[in-house]
Amino acid sequence: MRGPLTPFSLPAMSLEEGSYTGGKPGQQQLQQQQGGGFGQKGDNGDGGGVNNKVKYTMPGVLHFIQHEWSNFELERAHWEIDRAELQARIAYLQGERKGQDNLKNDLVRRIQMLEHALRAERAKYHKLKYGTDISQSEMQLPSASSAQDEYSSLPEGGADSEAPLSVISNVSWKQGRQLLREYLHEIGYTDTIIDVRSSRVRNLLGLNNNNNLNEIEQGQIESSQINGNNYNKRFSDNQGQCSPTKRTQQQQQQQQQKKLLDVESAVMANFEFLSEMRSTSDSGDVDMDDDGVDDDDDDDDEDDDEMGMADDVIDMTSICKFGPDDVDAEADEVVNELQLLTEDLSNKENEQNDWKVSNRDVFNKNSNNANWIKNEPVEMVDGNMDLALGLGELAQLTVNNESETNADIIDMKTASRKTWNAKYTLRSHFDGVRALAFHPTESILITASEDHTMKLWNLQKTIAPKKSASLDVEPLYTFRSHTGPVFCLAISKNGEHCYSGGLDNVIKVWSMPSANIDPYDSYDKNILINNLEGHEDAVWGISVHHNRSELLSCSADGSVKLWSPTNLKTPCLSSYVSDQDEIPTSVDYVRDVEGQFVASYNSSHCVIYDIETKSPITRLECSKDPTEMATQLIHRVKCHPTLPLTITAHDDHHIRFFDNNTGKMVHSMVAHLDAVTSLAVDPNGLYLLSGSHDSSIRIWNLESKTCVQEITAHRKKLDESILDVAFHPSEAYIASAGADSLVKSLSSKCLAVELSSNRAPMHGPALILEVSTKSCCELYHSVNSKFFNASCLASNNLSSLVGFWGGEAILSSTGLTSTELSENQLAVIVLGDLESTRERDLDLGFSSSLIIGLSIVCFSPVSDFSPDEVTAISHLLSTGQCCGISFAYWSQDGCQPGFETFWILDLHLSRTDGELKIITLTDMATEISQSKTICILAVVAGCFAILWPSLFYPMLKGSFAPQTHTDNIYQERTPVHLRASKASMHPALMEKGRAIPQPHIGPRHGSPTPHSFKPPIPGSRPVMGGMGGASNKITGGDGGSAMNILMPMYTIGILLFFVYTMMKV
Amino acid sequence: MKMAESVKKLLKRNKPGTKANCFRKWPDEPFEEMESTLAVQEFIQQQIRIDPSNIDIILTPPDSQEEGVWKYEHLRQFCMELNGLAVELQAECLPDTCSQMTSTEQWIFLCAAHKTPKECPAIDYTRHTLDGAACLLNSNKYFPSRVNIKESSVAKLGSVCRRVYRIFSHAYYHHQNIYNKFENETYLCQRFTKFVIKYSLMAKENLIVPMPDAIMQGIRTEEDGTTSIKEP
Repeated sequence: MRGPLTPFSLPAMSLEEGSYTGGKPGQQQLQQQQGGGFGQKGDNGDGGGVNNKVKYTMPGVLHFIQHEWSNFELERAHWEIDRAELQARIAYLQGERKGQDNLKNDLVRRIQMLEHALRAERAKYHKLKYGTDISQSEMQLPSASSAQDEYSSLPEGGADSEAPLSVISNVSWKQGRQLLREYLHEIGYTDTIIDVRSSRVRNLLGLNNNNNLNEIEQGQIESSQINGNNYNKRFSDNQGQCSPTKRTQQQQQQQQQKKLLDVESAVMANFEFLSEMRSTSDSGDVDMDDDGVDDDDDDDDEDDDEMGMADDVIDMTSICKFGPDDVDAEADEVVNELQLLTEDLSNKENEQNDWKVSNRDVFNKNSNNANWIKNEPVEMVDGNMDLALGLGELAQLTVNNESETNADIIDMKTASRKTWNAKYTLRSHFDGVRALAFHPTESILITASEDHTMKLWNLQKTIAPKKSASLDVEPLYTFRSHTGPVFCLAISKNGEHCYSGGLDNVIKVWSMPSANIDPYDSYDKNILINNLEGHEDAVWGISVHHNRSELLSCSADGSVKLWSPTNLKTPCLSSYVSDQDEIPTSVDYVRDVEGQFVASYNSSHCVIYDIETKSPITRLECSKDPTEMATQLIHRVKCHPTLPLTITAHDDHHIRFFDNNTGKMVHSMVAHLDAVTSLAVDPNGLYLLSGSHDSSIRIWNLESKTCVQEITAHRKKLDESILDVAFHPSEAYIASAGADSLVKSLSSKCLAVELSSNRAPMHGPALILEVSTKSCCELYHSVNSKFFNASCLASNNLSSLVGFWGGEAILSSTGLTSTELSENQLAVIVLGDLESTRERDLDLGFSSSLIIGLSIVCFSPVSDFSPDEVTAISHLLSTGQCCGISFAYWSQDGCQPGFETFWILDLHLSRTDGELKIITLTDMATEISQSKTICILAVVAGCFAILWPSLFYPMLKGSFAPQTHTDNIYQERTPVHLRASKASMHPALMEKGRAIPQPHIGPRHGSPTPHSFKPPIPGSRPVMGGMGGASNKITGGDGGSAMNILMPMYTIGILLFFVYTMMKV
Repeated sequence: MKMAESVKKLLKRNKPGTKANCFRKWPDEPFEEMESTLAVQEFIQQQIRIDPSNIDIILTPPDSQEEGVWKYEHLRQFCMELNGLAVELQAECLPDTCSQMTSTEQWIFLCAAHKTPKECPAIDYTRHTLDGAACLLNSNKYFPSRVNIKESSVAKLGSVCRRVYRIFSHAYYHHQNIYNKFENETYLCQRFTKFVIKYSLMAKENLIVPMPDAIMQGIRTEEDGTTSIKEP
């Protein structure tokens, strides 16, 4: 029985193999067939060899049939599974479509609503303006309807839609947008709702995207499989055996057709609706349609330049624009969605065609597959590119939107919100100041000047103002060794060394003097560590990197050199000379990638080099036109600290942005009225500071590319004005250096920096830069960028603290849990307004093991906190390894000069063994009452002092007049001869002598001034309202006239008040 | 490069990448056409750039130039250029060799930069004097403006001159090679001497560095006496 069994066992084996290995039914069947054939053959051969006649035994036949049966069963099961899968997919897609339908309906309703409102508004406006009812809408109708025709024919015919769009002016677009926003607010669509909605849309969008890509990928895989199998002869020979494949293909095709129809109808509906909208809505909406149409136009090459960003940049911008909440952004998204759908459609059409072809004529599959190979990748690329373009355009659009809305908001609000205020003017140089550098951690500034010296300033060591209002800072140290003007300056990242280069071709390496050095200490020769000699002409630029010890310099001799600054013998490590360009003008390390630097050349190009291989990697070219290039000299090049972005300052008033990966220009803007000379990027990479020969420095929001603040800082010397600007790496200082030999230092009213650096427990300073003391809504737009930046920092493994601003940040930051803040990352969460968070859940949704420090800044007095809230916060902390919390509070009216602007309540919680211990809790209330008591006492004492000379003293002493003590009191009064002539008048009326300047007493250090208790001065009315600054409740001392009558009453009143307050306290 | 040939109106700028030999090489411009508020400084620097040895021209103010500002700006320029001499002295004038600020044996100068005048080594005296002069000349209190200078502040210039001159005299008497080298390049001491004589900022008997007669215009009084300490 052994012989006859073998023929059957063989196919069975191969069958099983087939069933296990062959993933696809077709393949399986093929193998089965093949196996069967082989089995038969083997059977024949075997039979021929052993026994010429084949014996069909009953068990053998039965066995075979059973095997066949089981095989078919197996296959059927497979098909069932496939079917179920596909059905699930259909259901999923249908559900998705339904969701989108709902969304669309929703939007349609909203837009109709808006439309209606708009129409009503316009009618009203028209009526108001012209006194008649409109015929405008009727006027509009014909053109609109023609447009409608055009639009409705567009999906099929793809009619050119450029013409009617160019008519629409930008202004009306903006107006329309503003109106829409207003209406949205009116009907109760708050920002948050819109935000949530837009994120939902985005989610859908993202899903769509993925599906799309998946499908494409699937298609690709399948095609390659088919393609690969094509060369397998057996496969192409046995066409008939392909039926399962065919079936699935058909199935898919059907499904796709169905989907296509759905999609098509949806798109059609959308277009109809859009064109409807166009017919009725105002020009703004039309423009929006326009965008949609533009997006729709797949072959729109115009956008290529703009869209030349790398995908990740686009992604980032699209992430960045998460914030915008206006309806237009959303509308754009919808339009974009449509675009995606249509793209989807076109892709599928292509696919479908190919499917059809492959199905219709399997024999020609070879050639068709060849087509696939040729066409498909290209199409994929096209599709992806379109996708990217679409997204990019979307990003661009929304970025624009944001910039515009930001601009609007800024227009409205900036007047009251000045982030940066002039703080010090550093005067000690004799000639133009060429370069600035801040110490990485301390508030130390070094300046380099054309007077051959560099000076070190400690911005915290100020000389108290005597006469002038501005504080004077004097240099602590003067670096003398250069024999020519000093052009460039850098401080090593640990703050131990500084480097300077200048006209004398030498780069000097200095050790950093102590921050508290005596300015007139004796000379120490060792302060100059090394001279880096090697350049043959003036050194114009120096750059250091935060984790490299090497120094880069560029010189007018045409070379960029890499130095090891502390190597005394052979400091020069390598030299980079460009063969195409002449002289480097500026150099900077690429910050987001290690081992690269960028140098700008006077040919107005930038080149990114690899430090090790010395070879150029990317060339950043802004213009091909040589005549333009001549005017585009790059004064300064800077790299973004976290993004692959290079920023250049040009002689032709522009600032340009380049993508490091592609070398393409991402953005270009006219930034100043004259040549832009200097750039600085804030350490978080959110703001850009630029200085120009037009004497102004400007602060730019890097995300929206809008100017946040402009400060006119310096005067011109010759034709030069501002030569350098700098951001402090960790504190809230910026500085500008001018040709007028001044350095101006500005600081922001940055409470949080102090707060976090002092208060964020145990973990060093936080990087919080932009702070407005008041409204967190103003910061709303930047919240998301901060948020984004946080992830950026986290991914770079920087152990920095990151601040989030505003109440909204809490909402957003819930997304920033485990994914973006990895272990060992620190976060400071600054809640802008606890008032607003009160309604919300204080559970921030952090996986709290990540929170290490928490700072809370709030605008409501801490004493207002209910115990519940404190418990909630501590609960939040107790769930994780959070080891500290700090509160800061400052008065509602913000900063007042000379006042301690906020009181900090320490509430240190430490976690030991799962238990929370409150270490210190300085109670705000008692402190306030203490200081209040002091204030009250002081005011009362002051009142007495006021009353003393004019009332009590004369009453007690009659006509006794003591000797004058004018020398002791610093007070402006009219001269003696004038006083004598008016001797008949009452002293109080005689003059309006200026009171002693209000003593600047904060609630904490309030103490009565000695002046108050000075002996009386006859002939002059002494100080009034001595303590007025400290307390609002007491407005004493307003008795300038009619003092005779009022004074006694006044005194009694004060006494009563005093007793009352004392009782109360 | 810096000449910016393509630009119609020539801009007086030192753009980054300017070669050393092109630095500040602008065509001369008459004072009247200088528009900026710092025209006096520009003018002085331009005259020096043209020919540092032509002291008379350098010290000739343009017509209608107010004298206070003229003196002030010149003194700024002197202090600035004296940095160059200080750099040279740093290498040679060590606290060991010159432990006191002296020129002739007649006086020991006390450093006025400290709360109580102090007998600083010569190099410290030099640095402190220059630093102090820089602070004074840039003081917001005395010289808040570079366009108008108060009469009371002009009086301060004399004391600055007196102290600064000691750097010249120390260099001359103790580091003659440095002094000669520096003087041949810049003619600074000659210019300074001429300047203080012209504007009577120092007593002639204090000008102890020998000068060509043209500068001193003859008279120089020798003063004899024992070494004594001179207050700043």
